[in-house]
Amino acid sequence: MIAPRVDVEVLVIGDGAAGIAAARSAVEAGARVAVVSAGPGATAFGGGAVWGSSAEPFASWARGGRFQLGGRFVTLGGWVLTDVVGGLSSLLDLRRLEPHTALGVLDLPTHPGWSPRALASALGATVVPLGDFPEEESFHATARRFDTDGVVEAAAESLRAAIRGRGVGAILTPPVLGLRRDDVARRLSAALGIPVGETVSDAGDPPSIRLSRALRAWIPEEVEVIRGHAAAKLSRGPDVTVDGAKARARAVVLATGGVTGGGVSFGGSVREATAGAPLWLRNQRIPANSGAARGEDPSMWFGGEDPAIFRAGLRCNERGQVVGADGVEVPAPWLFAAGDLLRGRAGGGIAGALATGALAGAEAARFARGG
Amino acid sequence: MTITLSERRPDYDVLIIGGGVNGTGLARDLAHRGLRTLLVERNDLAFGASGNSSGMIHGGPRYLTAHPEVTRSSCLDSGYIQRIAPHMIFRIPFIVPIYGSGVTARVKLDAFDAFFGEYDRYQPLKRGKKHTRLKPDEAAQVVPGLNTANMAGCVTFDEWGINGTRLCVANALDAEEHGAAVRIHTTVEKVHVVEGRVTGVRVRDRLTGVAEEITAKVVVNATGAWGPITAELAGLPGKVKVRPGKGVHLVLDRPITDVAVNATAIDGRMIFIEPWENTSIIGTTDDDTYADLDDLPVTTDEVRYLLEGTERVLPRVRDARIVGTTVGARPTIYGWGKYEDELSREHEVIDHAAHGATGLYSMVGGKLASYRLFAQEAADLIAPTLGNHTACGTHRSPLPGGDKSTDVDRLAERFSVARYAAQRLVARHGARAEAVLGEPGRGGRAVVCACEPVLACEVRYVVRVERARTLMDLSRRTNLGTNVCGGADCALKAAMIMGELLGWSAAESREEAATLLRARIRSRLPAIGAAQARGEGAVHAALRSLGKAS
Repeated sequence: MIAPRVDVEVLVIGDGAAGIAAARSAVEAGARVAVVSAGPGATAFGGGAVWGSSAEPFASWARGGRFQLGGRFVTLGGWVLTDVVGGLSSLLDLRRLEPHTALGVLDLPTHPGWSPRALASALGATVVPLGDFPEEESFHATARRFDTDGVVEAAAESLRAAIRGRGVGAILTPPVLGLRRDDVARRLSAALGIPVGETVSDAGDPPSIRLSRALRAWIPEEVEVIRGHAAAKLSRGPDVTVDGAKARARAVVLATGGVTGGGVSFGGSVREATAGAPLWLRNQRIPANSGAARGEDPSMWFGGEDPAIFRAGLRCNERGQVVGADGVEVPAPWLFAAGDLLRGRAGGGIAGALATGALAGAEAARFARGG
Repeated sequence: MTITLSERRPDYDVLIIGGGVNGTGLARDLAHRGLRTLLVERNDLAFGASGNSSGMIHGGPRYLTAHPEVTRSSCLDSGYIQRIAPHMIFRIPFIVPIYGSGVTARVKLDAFDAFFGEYDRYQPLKRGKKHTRLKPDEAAQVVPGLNTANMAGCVTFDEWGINGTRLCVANALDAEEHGAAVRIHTTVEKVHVVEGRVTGVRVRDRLTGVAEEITAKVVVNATGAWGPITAELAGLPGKVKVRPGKGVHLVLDRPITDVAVNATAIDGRMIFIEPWENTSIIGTTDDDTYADLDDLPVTTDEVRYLLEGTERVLPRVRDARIVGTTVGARPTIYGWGKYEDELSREHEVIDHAAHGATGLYSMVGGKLASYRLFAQEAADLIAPTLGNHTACGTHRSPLPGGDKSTDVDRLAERFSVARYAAQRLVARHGARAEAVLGEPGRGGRAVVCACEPVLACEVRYVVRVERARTLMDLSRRTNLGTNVCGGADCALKAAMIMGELLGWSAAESREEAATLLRARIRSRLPAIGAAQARGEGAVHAALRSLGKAS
C-alpha cells in the first residue's frame, strides 16, 4: 500500500479567508490539520477591505474572544471601514467622525485610482488639502517607505505642522500606509490624536498585500500547506486526493469559494467542483445533470443584476456539516463547508468567510476527535 | 454704413454624417484637398461595422472568380494602407485544411491550390507571401493541436490584420490636423433640403442635449447600416437601401494559434479563428438583422455555432477563455432573395440630385480593405462640384504615427515602462507613442489596465488629443477593460483620471465605470464557459461596490 501524502485529522481545502480561519480554529480545538491550496480566489481580489453585510456575526463571534481580534466592522455606503483584522489597522472609519468634520487629505499623483479628495467630496466632507506624498516610481515604493523605522515618526511630525490650526478632524490618504508593516495608520493616529486611514482600492494594492500577509500569518506553524487541486467523493469517505496523490483525513472542510474561488464550477453544467456535493439555489436543489445536450445556457446563470450563480451553493446544518440532496440527511458527516461555497454566501465578504470558517474548523475538529 | 447683400457663407463645404471608416476616410480626403469639412457621428468613431469587423485588410480572394477587378483593387489599396500606416498592420498567415479521402478530396485540394495560385498574382500588390501546400503532419507542426484525422492536406495564404477602430481614429485625427472638424456623440435630427438643394442639418449633442443648426454646401450620408434611416431624415425614404448583415465574433484572452485557421460551420459556411493583436478572434456569422442598430444583441446560439465549427479543426478551442464578443452590422448592398453570403460587398456612391436633393450623397457598402479607395472615389465626385480640382493624395501621405518607425526597446528604456506596454502603445499610436508617454498629469505612467496594458498617460492623451468623451470611447480606442479583468481592475481608475480632465463629479465617474463594467458583462454573457466563470465573480463584485458607493 502506498503511504498517503498527508495523514491528518482535519483537511481544509482552500486557503482563502474561510480556509485559514477553519485551519486555525481546528488547531485551537486540538486537531492535526493540513491545508490544500489551489491558488488565489475571492479573498485575494478583495483589495484589502474586510467587508460585507455578513460582517456582524463575525464581529460578535470575534468579541467572544476566540481570536481576540477586537474586530469592528462597519460599512458606510459600501466603503468598508474596519479598523482591525489581526492587528491590521488600515482603513478609516468615517462613521466615527463627528458630522461636518473637516477631512485632511493627502494625495499621491502616481496612484491612478481614487483620489482621496474625490472620495472625501463624494462623502460630503469638508476637504482640507494637506499636500502630496513625494513622487516615487510607483505607489508601492511609497508604501514601502513606511516599513522603514523612523518614517512614521517623521511623517507624523510634518503632518502635525500641516494640520495645525486648520480644524482637521481626520486624515485620509491613498492606500500607501505600509507594505509589510500593518500598524502605520494606528501609529499615525496615536501620534496625531485624530483618526488616520487610507482609501480602499484594488487587488494588489498595499492594503490588499497587508491583508494577505495578516491572513497567512494566522495559519499555525504546524499546519502543512499543500499546493494542488483536491478531489473527493461523498461515497468514498474523508480520504481525498491532491493532484492524484492520496491524503488521509477524518474530517474535511470545503472552503473552496463560490464561482470566483472555483468551488462552484460552470462548464457543461453547474456543480460543486471538489466532491460533487449537492448544490442549492435558494431552497431548490440544482439537478446534478442540469446541463442540456449542448450545455448550460450561461445567460440563465450569469444574466441580470444579481446573477443566480452567485447564490448557488451548499447547504449546511448548524454544525457546518453539508446536508444531502433531500435537504435534511447528512450523507457524509465528515464533510464540512465554509465561506462563499455556502448557499447565498458568495459576495458575503471576508468577514462572513472568517466567521463560517472558524465554526466549520472547530466542528470538524470535534468530529475528527470523536466529539 | 454698408448693407451686406451677399448671402451668408455656409459653415462648411461638406458635412459628413457617420464616423466609420467611410466617413472618416472621406473627411481626411476632403480635408487634404483643402475643403472645409465637418464630420458628425451619433455614437463614437468606429462604433458600427468598422470597429467590429474581423480586423483585416484582406485582398478579397472571395471575389477572385467572379470579379477579379475587385480583388485587384482590394490588394492595391491594402498595399497603400501598409505604406501610410505601417505601425497599424500585422501579418496573419491563413491555413485552409481540406478534409476527406480519395479522389474527391484530392480534387478539392488541387482546386484550392490552383485558386490560391491565382490569388498569388495579386499578392505583390500588398507585399503578401505566395501560397503553399502542406501535408497533414506539416500542418500539425504549424498549428499544434490541429485536427489532422481524415485530412487530405492544407493550403496556406497570406493576409494583413489591422485594428479598425484605430484606423478610423487615425483618419479622423489626420482630417482634424488638416483643418476638418470632428464631433462625436452628435446625432443628426434633420437634413434640410430647400428647393431641391441640400442646405445643412440640425444636430444635437447627445451628451449635453444641445441642438444646433449647421449649414453646408454638400452633405454626405456615410452611415453604413444606418444609411436608410439617415436618408429618411432628408425626406428620401427608400432611396438608400442596405441589407444589414449581423456579424458576430468571439474574442479569446490570448492568441491560441500563430496562424489563422479556416473552418466550416454546420451550414457549410466558411468561418475562421485568427490570432489578432494580443487575442484570438473567431468569426464570423452573417445573418439578416432587424434589431436596433445602436444596440445589437449577441445570442448563445451564435456563440455555439462559431465554437462548434471551430472545434472541428481545433478541438482545444473548448478550453479557451472567451473574454468578449463583438457584433456589427455589415452595410451590405441590398438584394432580395439571396443568401447573406451571396450579397455583394462592393461599394457605390449615390448622388441624390436625381431624387430632388442636389448636394446630398450617400456612400453605400464598402469594406475596411478598400475604404481609402472608396473615399477617393466619393471625393473625386464631390470636390469638382465645389470648384475644387485638387488630386487625391491620401495614398501617399502617412496617417498620424505612420511617418517613421519607432524603436520599442529604446522607448521602453527611456520612459521606464515595460517593453510589452511600449509595444502595444506603438501598435496603437505609431511614432506618436513618444508623445503619449510624455503626456503629463495624474497617475504618471502608472499601469491602469494591466491586461492590455494601458498607462495613465495614454488615458489622458486619448482624452485630450483623440477627444474621448466617455469611458466607453476610451475603451474602444485603447482596448482598456476588454480582456480578462473585464474592467474590474481598471474601470474606476480610468474613470477617475478622465473625470479629472472632463470635470466629472465622483458620482459621474462611478457611473461611467459601471457603464463599462455592464457593457463588458453583457459582451461576455452569451459566451461564458468554464474558463471565464471564475472571473465573473470579480467583475460582479466590482459592479456591486460601485452601486453601493453611490
